[in-house]
Amino acid sequence: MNTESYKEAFLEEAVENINNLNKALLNFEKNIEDLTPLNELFRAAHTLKGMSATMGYDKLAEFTHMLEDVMDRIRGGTLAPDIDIVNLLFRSIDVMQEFIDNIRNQNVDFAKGYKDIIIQIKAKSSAPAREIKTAAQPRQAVPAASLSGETDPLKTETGIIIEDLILNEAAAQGMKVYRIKVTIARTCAFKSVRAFMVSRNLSEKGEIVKSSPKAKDIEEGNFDNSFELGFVSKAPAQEIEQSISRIAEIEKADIEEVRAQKKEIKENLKHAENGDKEIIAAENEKKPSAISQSVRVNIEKLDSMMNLVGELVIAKIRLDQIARNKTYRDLASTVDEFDRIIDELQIEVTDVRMLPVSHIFDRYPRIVRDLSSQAGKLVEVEITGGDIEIDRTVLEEINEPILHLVRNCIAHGLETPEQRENAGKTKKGVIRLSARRDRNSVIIEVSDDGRGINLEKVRKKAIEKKLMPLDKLDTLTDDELVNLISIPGFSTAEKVDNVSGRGVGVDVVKTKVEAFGGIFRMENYQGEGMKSILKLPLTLAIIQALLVKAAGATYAIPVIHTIETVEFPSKDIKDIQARRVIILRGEVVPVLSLSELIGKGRQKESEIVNMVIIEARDKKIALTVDSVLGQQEIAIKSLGEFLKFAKGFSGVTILGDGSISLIVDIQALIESNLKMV
Amino acid sequence: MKKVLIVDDTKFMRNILAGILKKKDLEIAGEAVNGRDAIEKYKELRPDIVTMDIIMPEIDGIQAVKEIMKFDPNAKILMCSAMGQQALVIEAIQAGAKDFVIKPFQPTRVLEAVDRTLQE
Repeated sequence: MNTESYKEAFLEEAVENINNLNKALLNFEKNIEDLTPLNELFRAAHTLKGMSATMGYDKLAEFTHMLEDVMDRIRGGTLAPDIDIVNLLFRSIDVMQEFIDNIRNQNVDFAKGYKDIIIQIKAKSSAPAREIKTAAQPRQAVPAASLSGETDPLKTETGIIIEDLILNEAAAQGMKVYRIKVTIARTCAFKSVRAFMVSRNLSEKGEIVKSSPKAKDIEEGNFDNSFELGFVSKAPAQEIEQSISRIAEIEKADIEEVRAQKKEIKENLKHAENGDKEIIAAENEKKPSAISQSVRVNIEKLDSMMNLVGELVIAKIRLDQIARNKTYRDLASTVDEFDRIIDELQIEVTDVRMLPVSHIFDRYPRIVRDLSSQAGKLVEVEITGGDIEIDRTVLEEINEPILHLVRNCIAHGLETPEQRENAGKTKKGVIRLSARRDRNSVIIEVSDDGRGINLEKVRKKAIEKKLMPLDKLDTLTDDELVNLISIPGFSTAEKVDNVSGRGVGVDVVKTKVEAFGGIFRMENYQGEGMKSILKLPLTLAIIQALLVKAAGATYAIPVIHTIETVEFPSKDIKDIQARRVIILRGEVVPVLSLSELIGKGRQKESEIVNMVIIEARDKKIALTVDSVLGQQEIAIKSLGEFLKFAKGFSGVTILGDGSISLIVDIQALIESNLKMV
Repeated sequence: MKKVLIVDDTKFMRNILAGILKKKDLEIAGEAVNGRDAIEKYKELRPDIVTMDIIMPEIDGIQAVKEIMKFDPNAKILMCSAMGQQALVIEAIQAGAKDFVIKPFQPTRVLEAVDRTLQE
């Protein structure tokens, strides 16, 4: 079988099964008495075994086979689980992950230390690993011999003797006696099942009166590739032959009628060689490739499709505008239809790129388990909104930041069990991962119920690191103080440790989130915990933007950064400490001019000033513009190599009238003009 | 063209089987992801043949064979078993399954089993 074309699917489902293993094992660890999670553990290991054997990854198949056995034995009650075994199983899952990584990256079926784990697990379980084969209910057990094929060739050499008593009795009833030798294909893996099918078919036509080897040995597969039966029936030999040979993998059925005279049959069966080994070798042979039902698409092709849809959206907007001024018959309705189709296409293409956040969330219970036990803390993970979907590129990008935040929760936020008890909390801390949709963005929150952030420490650190003049520091609200942590180079971790690493800190998270147009913010609840909030765009290619005019040109501001638009009388703009501010519903909001920010100088303002209230650098800012044109979706085009130095713009888009508009990178613009705020 | 219902809890295995079956002019009428799904899809699609995995969540393959045979005594079901599951395969055949193939699949063997089962 040409397995290469299935490799991607294999890897994807293998990872899924490893996640399931982790999840089920975590559940099992919580209550070792309850064996229910073992069904899931067994199933996931079993599935992985089957898949890796199909792909020809023999080492991984061997490894997962061993795990499957262990889980089955715990489930069946022949192996008592303890914490050592659970830890070994966790390590095994890591080894499987390493297998998968190595297969993915180097196409090598290997993982370091996998043999060690097998040895350790085997040592843990005293009985031979292949004893129990079946599911939870005590089904007919199959002894090891049928798998390893260690049969005693002498048994099959005996042949059968049919006594005169039987022959005479059969003759009296008008029945014939047959000696049947059934030969099963050497490649057959389940000889016992074929033998069972033979006996079932024969039973419809008569009685089996003898067998060699004994019935029990045939049932258990303890024979080479043939066995003999004595059979009494009214049916002619040809009919019996047919009823046997319609069973698959029956090589032949030799039928001989026995008459009333003694006759011994001795067959020399030299096939001591085992069939099982051969079948595996045979199945691993390269076979012509098969066609699958679903199609795997390279992510680059998806990007390019998305790009084309983006172009279509632009063309659609242009067409809309052209059609609006024309009165051709049917044009309006055709354009409407065209609009609808493009909208649907855009939704479909966007949808293909979406993945549920559980894709990364589900890794955390396991990660937290390991990190918290290293840190000597008791921590539980709560996940909500795992089914919320987000662009896969965004999702991959935020995994690292989330990991960082979770590490911080464990290293700094959550207390030790004793500290928690002293503070009147439950011994076990909680880390919550949640996701929810908010218009065109997804909000991901990472929170804990730990001690929160020590604001006094933050203040001291800010002074020590000279992050801000003292007088300014004093004007900060608690919320603003907390968010100082995300300024590059800030870290309250006193020493380097395994869990949180060197305090490269929250600034990395913030930078990453902002890099693709997201917003990062923290909330502190002194003594009760803290929360990190990541507001992320649903997709990176087509966004909702507010179009504004400033200094004679049109600019696009991503809606994710806007809160509202207001018209403000210019006389109400106040100067406080050389800064322009407005009082918006009781809140002091600094005023900046977009035209000034982009280096075109402040334009003369009319009596009523148009302002866009934006959210940037964790605070509100009123951005003055000449006029607000409205909101529409825009397709983001990169600025390209030549213009990449243009700081303050994240890209460019083509508007309905064919003109070009720069997309304002609010965060960067304000950062480069920080002194003005 | 004969219609096949593929039952397996992993997409990977379903794809592999579909790939093998399509070479033999068989129409993949549907796919089911567990025993319960298999019973429902069988009733809905009335396939000529079913390939049935054994170990699956919710309702396993053997239970599904029993239910399907109750609904349609002429159902043609081919079990897909992993190594070492002789006892389970026998149980499935007692319940009415016609034949079995073993994972890892050998395409010629699978096609032969399908042919044979369809001719029963």
